[in-house]
Amino acid sequence: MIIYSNITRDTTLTGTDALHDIFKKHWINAVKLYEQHGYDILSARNVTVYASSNTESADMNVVSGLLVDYDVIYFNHMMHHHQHEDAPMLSANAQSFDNFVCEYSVFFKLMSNWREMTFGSGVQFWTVGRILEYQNIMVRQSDFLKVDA
Amino acid sequence: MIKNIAVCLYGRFGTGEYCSPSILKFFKTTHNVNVDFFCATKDYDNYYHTKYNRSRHDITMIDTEYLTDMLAVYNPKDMIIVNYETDLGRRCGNSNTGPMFSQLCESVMLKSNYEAINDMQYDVVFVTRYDILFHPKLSNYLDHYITWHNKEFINKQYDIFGNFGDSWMFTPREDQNFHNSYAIKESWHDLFLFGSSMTMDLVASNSLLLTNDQQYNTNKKTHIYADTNKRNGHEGLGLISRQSNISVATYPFFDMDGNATRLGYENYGEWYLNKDVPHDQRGYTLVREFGDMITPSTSIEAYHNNRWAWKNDMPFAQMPPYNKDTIT
Repeated sequence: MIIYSNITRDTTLTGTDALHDIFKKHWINAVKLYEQHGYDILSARNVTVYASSNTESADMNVVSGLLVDYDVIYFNHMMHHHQHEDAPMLSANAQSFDNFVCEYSVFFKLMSNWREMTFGSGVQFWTVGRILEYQNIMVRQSDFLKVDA
Repeated sequence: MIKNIAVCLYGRFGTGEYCSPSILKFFKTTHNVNVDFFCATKDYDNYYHTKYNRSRHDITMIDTEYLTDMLAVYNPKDMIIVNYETDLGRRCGNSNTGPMFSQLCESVMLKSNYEAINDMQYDVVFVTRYDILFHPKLSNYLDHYITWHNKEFINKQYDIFGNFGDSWMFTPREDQNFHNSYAIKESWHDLFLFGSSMTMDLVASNSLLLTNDQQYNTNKKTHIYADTNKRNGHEGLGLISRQSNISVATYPFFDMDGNATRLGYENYGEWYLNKDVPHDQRGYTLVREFGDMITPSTSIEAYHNNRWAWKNDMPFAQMPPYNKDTIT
């Protein structure tokens, strides 16, 4: 079962502020999804969340075939998209979270971290890699976005 | 600064009618702080840990109207009553971990839903049960805690707990030594704990993961922990705190002037049940229907020493108006 969390990202924000924006909006969606589907469905660990910002551009045939284990998150070609940067996973790069796929409990756990990010501080402390590492979430890569996207 | 506090009550209702005045008294504060309750419970009682008169597999159905009336004393912002059939599915045979963590998760998610709808955040979230009796000495604990939190903790939490400073929780450690294994197991008490709103969301999300692991995963090799497929609440919380890097410490204690002190018997003593701790130095205790204020980790002697010491009006004769149909 695949459920969706689509948000409208504020593209004027950068760094930690952008991450804060994405995480908080997805967190609200996560709470709504819990209200909608309930504990018994979401705890069965067969619920995959496809989370996207602004546009949904994933190939659902690919998404449904992903092995969404616990504590795993899928990004789409993360290194290729950000190859112009030195260390994309170690930067506060909001683009990394434009499209990702994970199991529901991982989704809710990860997005709960929006509270840690101080909005408007200008501090670039929060990085994608650090958040994932701190929550013990493993990163995998898959070509789940449509080619023309 | 603490402005809003959430209290998430979860689990079987049990002696909740008898204990509710104690819980309400504990959460009263002279500070200008908003305290909201969120209630998750189920429409039956079980006697899994009761050692007297009942089989551990007995259950007693509770009238939902009675439950609704009883929960109304908390004036909860939101509540949910899970029915027996649903909860039985979460039990999956012999597991008592599934129902416990599912209730904890449901309760916390009520809080999160309220936060999301109203675009606000609780500064501290307490998670506890309905059948808890607080010691009268602790009637001003919340006042002391709020003062200490605003004055010291809020400035020091990032020093104390590191860069992920909002990921903190207070609850006593529970030593586990099952089967003489002498395995090191970091475990935490599940009767009364509190932490940041984010921490409780992490606990809830990991509860989804954990109960699933306990209930549905029959392949031990792919368990999060391979050594057992039946973990209790204490170990479950230990697992959760490790999974999400939640910093956990025992409760802060306060002297008569409200200054935080080290944990010591001279003030409130151990909060949790311990046979070596005199009854008048405990912070809280469980009250079960038959007066057996014990958990498996506490000796039978503690029960005999303390059953009458805490309260002279233990609720032996105050059984709630249960539906007498007992399903075994």
